[in-house]
Amino acid sequence: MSKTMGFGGLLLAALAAFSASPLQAQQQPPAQGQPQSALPLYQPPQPQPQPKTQGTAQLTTSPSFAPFPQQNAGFYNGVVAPVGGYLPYRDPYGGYLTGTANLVTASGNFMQSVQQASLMQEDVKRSQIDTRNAIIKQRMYEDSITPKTEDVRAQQELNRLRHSRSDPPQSDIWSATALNTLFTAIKSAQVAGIYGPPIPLPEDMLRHINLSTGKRPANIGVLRDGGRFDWPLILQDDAFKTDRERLEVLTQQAVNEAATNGRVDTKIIRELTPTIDRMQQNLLRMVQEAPPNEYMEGKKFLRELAASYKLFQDPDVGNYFGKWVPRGRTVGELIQHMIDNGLQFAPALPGDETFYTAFYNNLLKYDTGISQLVSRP
Amino acid sequence: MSELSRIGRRSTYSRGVYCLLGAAALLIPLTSTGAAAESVPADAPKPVVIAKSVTDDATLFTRAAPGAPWQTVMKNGSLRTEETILGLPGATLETSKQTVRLSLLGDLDRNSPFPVYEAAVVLHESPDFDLDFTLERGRVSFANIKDKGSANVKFRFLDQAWEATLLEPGSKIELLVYGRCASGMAFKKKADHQNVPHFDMDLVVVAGKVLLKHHNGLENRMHAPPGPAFMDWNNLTGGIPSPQKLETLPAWVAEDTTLEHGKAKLAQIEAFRKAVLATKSLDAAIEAALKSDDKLRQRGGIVLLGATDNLDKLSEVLAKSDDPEIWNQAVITARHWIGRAPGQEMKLYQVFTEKVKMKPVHAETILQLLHSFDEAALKNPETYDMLISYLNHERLGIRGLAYWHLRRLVPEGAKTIKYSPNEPPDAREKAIAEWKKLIPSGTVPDAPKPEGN
Repeated sequence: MSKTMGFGGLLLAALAAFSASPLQAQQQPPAQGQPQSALPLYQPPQPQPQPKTQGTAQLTTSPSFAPFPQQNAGFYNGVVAPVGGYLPYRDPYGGYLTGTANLVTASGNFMQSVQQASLMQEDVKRSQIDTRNAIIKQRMYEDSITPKTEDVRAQQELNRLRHSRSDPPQSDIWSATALNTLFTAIKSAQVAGIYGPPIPLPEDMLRHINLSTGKRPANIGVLRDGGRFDWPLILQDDAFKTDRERLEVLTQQAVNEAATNGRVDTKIIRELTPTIDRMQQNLLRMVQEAPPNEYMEGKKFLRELAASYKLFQDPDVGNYFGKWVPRGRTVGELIQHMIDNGLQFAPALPGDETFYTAFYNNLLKYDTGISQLVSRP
Repeated sequence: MSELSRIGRRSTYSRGVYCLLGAAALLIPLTSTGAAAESVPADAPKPVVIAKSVTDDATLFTRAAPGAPWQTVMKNGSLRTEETILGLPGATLETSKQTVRLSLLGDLDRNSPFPVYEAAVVLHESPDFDLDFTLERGRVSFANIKDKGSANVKFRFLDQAWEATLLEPGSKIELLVYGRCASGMAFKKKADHQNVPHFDMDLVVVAGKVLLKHHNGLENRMHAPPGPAFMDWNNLTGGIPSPQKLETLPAWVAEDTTLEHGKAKLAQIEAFRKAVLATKSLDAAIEAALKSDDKLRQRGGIVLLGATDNLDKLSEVLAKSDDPEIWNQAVITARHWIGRAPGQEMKLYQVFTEKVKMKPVHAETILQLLHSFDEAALKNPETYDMLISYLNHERLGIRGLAYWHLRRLVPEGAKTIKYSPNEPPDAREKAIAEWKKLIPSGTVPDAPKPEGN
């Protein structure tokens, strides 16, 4: 840049030096008494046409003073050379200065272009920075509105709780889903020392509530009467009499041993399974002669009974007939008992449905009572 | 599902059948094929002529009492009160005083909110009303055809009696009633007020202005769209008691058949009408349809059996037919029939046990399997155990019904496991073993994926 400026400066200086007609300046009439110079008196040239830019000096092209084709407009980017030549006539000095001027102009343009390019480059860099900033901001915004996994889980819990509080279907009550959802919400309050109103729990209702540890899919409720079963209609058929009576005896023995000794004799467990298998096979043979609903009820009962017998193999079997039995005179006491022993509600068994629906209403009242004490969702 | 979203809902049933349903409705002196004609109570009102047919011969048919023969009504023929009137799609009657016109409509385009089949009404004598009728089933429209003034109409359905004042000449209402047994409903031999079919009524003001009075005395002013033009009711919740706004008339209220398949059915119905006139025998026409080589005509014949309450023949098809397509149609027809009103199931049960001589437990099983399973039953492993066990039942009808359910509940299994209720026992055993492998005892299959996913 400085070299260019230096060169340009020289050119400008040269131009200034010759700003007047140089030959005219050099050819002053001789001073008085001085001999006349040998040189002929300079005659200023006739007025010449004003120089016009016929084209810009292109840095990529090599300047040439060779005469250009006159009619080749394409050669000059659409400019047609005038008749008589591309360049107006000048004398060599004028031509030299014109060329110099053009060069200076071109240089100036070049410098300007360079500066402009630099500015554009800066603009590009600035835009890139702006884009990166925008990307970062967008990412931050998306992060801010994307729920975290824990938030999603919490929202789902909240939705389940709302559903359980808002007249859920009977199937949700009888499967204990709604009860356990309410229980989870109540538990968090009771653990914090907040209790609901004293809602009484009738004895017969309590007897029909089933609890479990959640570890096994079995329901101990089917054994709550210690082997006295409320057999479905189809299983009261004479075809099942022998096995029915045997199961009742074995179950009573198993329950007594579990409650007393905390374990069940293996011989009893070994006889329970084939007995119930035999009943299931007999029931299957009756499928064509049994009304569908009765058949399904009988099959379901035997399936649940078989699953509950597996609990007799559990090392904690004694607890099912001891400290894990539902107890409490109020809803709050039952909840506390469940909290203390890590229990949850198990599904209703046939015959429990009405009690479960009534209990749900009591549980909901208790939950509402807690909500009124604290501000919580 | 909102009530309005039901407007324009398409039926899932095969379309081909419905046209013939309309034909079914129309049929000629039907000898009571099975059920003896019920005697009319002594204190029942005497029938009086109260209207006439204004459409072609053999578009309307009447029956004095359930089980009595159907009579063909000719054009301008008289129509009496307290008689069941069945109509071809578009069959129309006018009151004798030419005040109200009532059209019995079908659903040939299959775009009604409910899969209605034939329309059936019973007229009543009421001096305070221009027309008093009971809509037993299907879709009808009624309009004020007076030169001036309003027309009063009383319309009844199930245990309801509503009143509509068609405030100006040209005012018109379209009415649709449909009943069906809900999923999970248990078949019970004893009447139970909680164990009744679900019944729906939809009402649209098609033209003009109407003052509607509900059964409970509530009154609403309604008019054709745009505006409060739609009302619905059901026997579970009563529906929404105030009219709902419609911007335009829903497509299903159009009385003209516009779609190609509907027009094709219309042509078939016209051909059937002519056949009925030619043979002058409804039974002969139905028999001909059942024996036709054309599957569509056969299926139409099945639908006709339901429409004309020919339970003997219908139950015979259910119990014995070995044609899966015909048998499937019989199942659909029977499901429609038992859902019509409370007490229908017991009638079918009696036909199974008394006419077909089926064991009571088998009749009970068939009737229970004519119901769909509810959500709780579908989560119960015993449901699938039982259905798979039934695949080898001694009775073809029960095998078929069990497979019918399994096909719908476990479509993937139905695609991969070849089973036919008609196959010999050893072939069935093989398929049953595959089903048991697919759905092991004590497990529940995955819910079927929605189509297209």
